[in-house]
Amino acid sequence: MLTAGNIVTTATILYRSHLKSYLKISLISSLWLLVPILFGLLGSIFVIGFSDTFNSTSVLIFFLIATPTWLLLLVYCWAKAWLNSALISRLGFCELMNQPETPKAARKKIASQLWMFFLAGVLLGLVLVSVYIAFTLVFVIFLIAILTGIAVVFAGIFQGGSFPEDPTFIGILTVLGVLLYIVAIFIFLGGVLWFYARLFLLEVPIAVHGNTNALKALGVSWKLTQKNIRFVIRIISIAALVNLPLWTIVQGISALIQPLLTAWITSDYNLLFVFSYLISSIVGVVGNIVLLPFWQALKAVTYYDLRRRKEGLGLQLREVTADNTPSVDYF
Amino acid sequence: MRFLNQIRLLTPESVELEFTLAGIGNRAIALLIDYLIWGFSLLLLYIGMFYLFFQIGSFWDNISGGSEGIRLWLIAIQILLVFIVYCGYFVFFETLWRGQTPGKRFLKIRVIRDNGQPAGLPQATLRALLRPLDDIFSLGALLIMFTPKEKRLGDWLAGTLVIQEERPIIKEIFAISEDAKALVPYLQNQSNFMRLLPEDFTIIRAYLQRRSLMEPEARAKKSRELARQVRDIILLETVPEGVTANQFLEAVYWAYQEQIAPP
Repeated sequence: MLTAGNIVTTATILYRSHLKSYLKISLISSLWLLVPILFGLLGSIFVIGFSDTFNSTSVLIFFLIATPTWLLLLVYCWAKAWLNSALISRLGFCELMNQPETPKAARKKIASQLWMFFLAGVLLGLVLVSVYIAFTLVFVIFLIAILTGIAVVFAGIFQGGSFPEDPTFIGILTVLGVLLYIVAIFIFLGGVLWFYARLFLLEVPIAVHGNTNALKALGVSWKLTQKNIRFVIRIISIAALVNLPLWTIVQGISALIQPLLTAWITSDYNLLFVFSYLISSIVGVVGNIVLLPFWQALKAVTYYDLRRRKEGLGLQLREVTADNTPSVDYF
Repeated sequence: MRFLNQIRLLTPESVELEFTLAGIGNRAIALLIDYLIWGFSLLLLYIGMFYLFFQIGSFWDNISGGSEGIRLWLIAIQILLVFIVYCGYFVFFETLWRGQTPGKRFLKIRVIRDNGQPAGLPQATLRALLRPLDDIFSLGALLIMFTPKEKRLGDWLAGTLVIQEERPIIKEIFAISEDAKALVPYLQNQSNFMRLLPEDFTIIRAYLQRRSLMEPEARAKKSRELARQVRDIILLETVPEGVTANQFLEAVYWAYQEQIAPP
């Protein structure tokens, strides 16, 4: 059993020792995410480029055919991308269990779970978006209610019922509002982090065991993190802290390229904008490709450690087929 | 701890020592804690000195009638104090606590020399001097992540390693129930403990140590599974009625220990 810090270290070492193969899978995963964007761009260029040649009916027909096709493509590509990222977790987990697999063999074993990964991804997205919306609503209502409450109370005490137009009073109200806002932001972030931590291991059971569905996997992640939620949040926070150096490099590269670009393209501002947008996107994608294996390895190590803690994973004795023992199970 | 970086050292006395390196996770939190304490102390120092020196300054003004000399002295002292805290924090703690700062102490990690001896003033100073360089673009953190000995520039120059102090997360001691102890003579008579290998015993002990952390459901399942396997190994034919899997495993643990080292 490891401490939170050691779990993060183990994930880094796991990643470092399989750098090439994990990076390759991460690259494949990111490319799958790029495919629908590419097709969307191509479609738009096609429509814009030929809008003079075609009449409006044929453009409409094109849209009617292209949109559902594109949506199907999107679903398929996302499923593929999530399968590939989960594949890294599976490889990591097998490595920890001392039963290493080749990426090829592992991919074959989880290929049939493609739609489960998609469902899991959608489930995770739905939960996080609902949490986000719920928190935002509660937050807005809470803020308005408290500020109105304070205003009413103050008005009642000092102004005999009428709303004061005194600048000090409005100042106090503003400061209180800002303080409440900061507190609420922290509660908000904490809440989202809490939910994220509960669902942190969502895709790992699907990738590791295969014969499970997305809802069951959600249950597994929920149960494993139940009593160890602070532990998991600590792991995620330390991992984010350890990620900082890599982000500084990514930001550093962006910061270095920007002035070069500005010096190079001096006349056309639109071109400059397009280029800087393109470069920051590429840097972002590359950063994501580099960091994804780390987070997936982290999930593998966390899953491994929690199952050791809570289920005694790895405590296994030899199976002896003794001929003189009765087959009745006493315990 | 198979996946954490290990290091073997040969001390000048030819004693071989094995250490687990601290790792990026622990070192990152330790650094964060240290920077927080450090920043907070600097802030307090500034506020405290500002208040104190303002008082001294106005007091001096009253008695001397506004001479400027004392103010320059106060500013000089202030700069000196800030400099001492700014540079001395890591040197002070790593020297005083033999390679530990408050952050490292909290995380139970320690700086040692490459030969396994405790780090002293020269090592702490060199590490502190190179710290700003290591902080540029997080160079140090990257070196810790990507080199086998987890050395940042300061560690290379000072010839130091950062290691974990051994500490078990789980308690070594666990209670054996009286019911289980009562079962021991029966087991010793009826079964063959010679068939139980030391590895098997290690797993039984690990289970007994870890069971309090386990989920009740998983614990029940695991204990039944292990008890059945143990029973098969030691060729025990019948288990007395009413004995739970946990009691059985405790009894096996106790009986095996007595067999090896009779009291």
